[in-house]
Amino acid sequence: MSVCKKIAVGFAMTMLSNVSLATVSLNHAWKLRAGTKEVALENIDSRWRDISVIDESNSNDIEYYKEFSLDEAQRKEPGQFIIVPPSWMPYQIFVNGQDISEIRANHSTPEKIYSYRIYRIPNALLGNENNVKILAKGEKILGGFRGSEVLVTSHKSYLIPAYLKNFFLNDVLIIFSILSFSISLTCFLIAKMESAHRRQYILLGLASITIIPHHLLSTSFYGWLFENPTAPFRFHLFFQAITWTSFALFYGLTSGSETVVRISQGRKMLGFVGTYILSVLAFSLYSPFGVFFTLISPLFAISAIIAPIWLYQYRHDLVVFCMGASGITLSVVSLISDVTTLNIYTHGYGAMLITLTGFYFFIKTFVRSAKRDRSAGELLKLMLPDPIHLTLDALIDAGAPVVQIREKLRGDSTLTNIFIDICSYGKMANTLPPRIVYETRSSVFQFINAIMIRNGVAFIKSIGDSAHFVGGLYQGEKTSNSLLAKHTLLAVMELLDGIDAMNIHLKEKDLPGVKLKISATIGVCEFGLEGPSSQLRYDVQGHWVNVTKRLEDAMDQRFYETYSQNVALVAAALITKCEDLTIRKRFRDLFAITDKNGIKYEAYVGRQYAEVIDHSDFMRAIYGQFSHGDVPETKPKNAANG
Amino acid sequence: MLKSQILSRPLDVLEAKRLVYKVYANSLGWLPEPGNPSGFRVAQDKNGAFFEDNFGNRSIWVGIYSHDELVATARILTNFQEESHEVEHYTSLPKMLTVAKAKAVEINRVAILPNFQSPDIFAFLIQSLVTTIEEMPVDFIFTTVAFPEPGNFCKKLGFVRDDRPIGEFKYSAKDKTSVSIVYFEMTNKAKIERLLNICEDIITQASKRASA
Repeated sequence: MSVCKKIAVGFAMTMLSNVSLATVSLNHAWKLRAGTKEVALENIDSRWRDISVIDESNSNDIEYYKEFSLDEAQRKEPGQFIIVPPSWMPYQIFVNGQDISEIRANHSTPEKIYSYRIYRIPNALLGNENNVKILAKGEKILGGFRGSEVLVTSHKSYLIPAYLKNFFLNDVLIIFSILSFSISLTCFLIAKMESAHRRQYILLGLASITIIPHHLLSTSFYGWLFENPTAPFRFHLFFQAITWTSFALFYGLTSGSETVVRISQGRKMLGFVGTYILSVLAFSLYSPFGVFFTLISPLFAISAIIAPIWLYQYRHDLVVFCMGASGITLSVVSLISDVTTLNIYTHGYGAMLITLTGFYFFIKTFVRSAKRDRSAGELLKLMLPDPIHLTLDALIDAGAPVVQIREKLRGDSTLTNIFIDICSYGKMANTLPPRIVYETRSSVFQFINAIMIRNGVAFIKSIGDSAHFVGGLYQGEKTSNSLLAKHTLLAVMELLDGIDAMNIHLKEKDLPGVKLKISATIGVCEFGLEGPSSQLRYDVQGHWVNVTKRLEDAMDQRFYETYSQNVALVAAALITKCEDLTIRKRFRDLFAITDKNGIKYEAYVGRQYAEVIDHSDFMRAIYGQFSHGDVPETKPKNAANG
Repeated sequence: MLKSQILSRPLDVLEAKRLVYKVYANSLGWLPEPGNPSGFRVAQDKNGAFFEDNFGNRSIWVGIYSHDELVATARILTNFQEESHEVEHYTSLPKMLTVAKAKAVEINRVAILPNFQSPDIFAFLIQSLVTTIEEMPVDFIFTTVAFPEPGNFCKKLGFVRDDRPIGEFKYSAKDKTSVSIVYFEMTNKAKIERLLNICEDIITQASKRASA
């Protein structure tokens, strides 16, 4: 017979009494003795607080007694077991006077309280007439078996349901303990590093670790700690009060409840709660169990009411809401089980699900933080010139403070400066709608930036209709002044050559065409993060930046009359440093300016078109047109060739 | 003595077409493939062969005469009825030209007799074309050219190259080189003036050399 079939048969058989010759069900006609008092029990799962003789006797040693018969065949069957339902109290079990409990002598604390107990009965012990005696200790408020059927069986298939129930109702709590411990450790570690949700991490960590005493009821742990049979329950209930309060506060903070935020921030409130908890602890050590439970119940009650309310406020996150609601529901099922003496204690599952809800919340927060960090990083890079990105990445990865980053990015070296100004921008701004002006400016600067990037020149800033670009940032010894000058002049030339194409693109977007004026210099400049400490901005400053601005200012109406617009004025030093004569030829007309201090600066004019179109250009064009022999011809557009 | 003229008489147009044949077929050794979308074909009359195509009804031919001999010609293909330009049978136009289709003219069938392929004749032809087109309600001139030459020459004159990835194409798979559309804004007066001045300079220099 397959295992599944055995399980199915075993389950079916368990539901019926005396259905197999190999199994005897002992679920009726027990006698219960408490002190000198005795009473007949219909069901073994009667709670001690419901049995009057226990109350009258005031005894904590309770004896269950039953006699049963086995026929010859049953008696001789090897491997007899007795299966006893779970009990929250410790007990010994005797068959025909022999203790078969296989537990240590001090049976004074509860162990594995959700487990069915399966004890082997030595065959030699059994006769035709037998008796079983269960000796239990405990507190009448907690005593009683959590199941009505005691089975004596040799059929191993009846053991399987018991094993399964033991795993899913008891043993699984060990796994939950390990998980809860891991999660709480993780939460406390993260709380140390992450400030944004620190309170929530601490609450979840607290809730995860304080549920472990409850889960330990499924183990033999308390036997090492206590001799009093009810002490484990005080112990775990005390911590559970913290668990549920922490869960409730966690949901409150997550849902954004102002009340909870104030509680978590308020020292008076925290002081009150702390005092209350310490008082309960003090009382609980010596007070009767009933008093202890009464003191601790308010925290359970408040948490039980408030947690679902706050969870409901967070219902927009379906996963968190469903998991949390399921967890609370499973915990409530346990409460109902306790009241109705059903052995469906899903409290561990409930707590685990709520813990995992919190964990899921943190995973989401991490992912969101990672996305936020990535966006912030990308935004930061967009706000800073390209040449500093690598340096900045290295400094941020190393965790350098802002002060150090600022220091590392500061410096001075020979740089080229290019100022590009949109001519007649003021007139455009006065006559055209703001949206058109803005889009024109954006498109123009985008076009210019693309050219500058291709030539290794970085954008620094724009002010109104003017943009400042710099070449040579953080290149130091890697780039000679000659190469720097060449690349800068190539950028200027490409821009001059591209103005017509740029205006074509502007027209395609129904934007007005523009004219530009460009000024450029080379010299030592300072660079770095500038500005008040509340708002830093990357900038390049120095004498040669000022000179570039002066060259730009010199391109006024009188200048245009001679040289027209769409023109560049580049400092003489920039030309002389460039060793490429072809490039130098483009900037031929000398122009000098004198600043207000009487200092003279020489510059050269570069025009939009390479003016020199001469005889040789025409000859080359003629040769190109009439010498290779290909002219427009055949093949429709939609032919196989594309 | 050079003079330019818009060829309005049918006989003059026919002579221009015959000149194109002489340059393309005889000098460059090129003939159109049968069945091409332009209807570009060889026709014959008693005076010899010439080229014909489907665009006769919207062509404006410009001719350059040297001592009353037609030595250079080019055709301006108008599109005021918003039909397809000839090049559209082979590739698509850039957006600027598509939007302004009716206000764009295509220059093609540029031909200069081998013995007259000199800068001044070429400059004169360009000058004539531009001044003719300047009087039309036209925003763009465009043509197709090979790179590096005469493409770079056109760019120096102020033409803008179609920079789309599909901007470079071949009229026929048999062509050795591909061509690109280049276009010139006729609304940019400064550019037109510059182009005309450049051509004038070339013509003047040649004239001075000739007289010297």
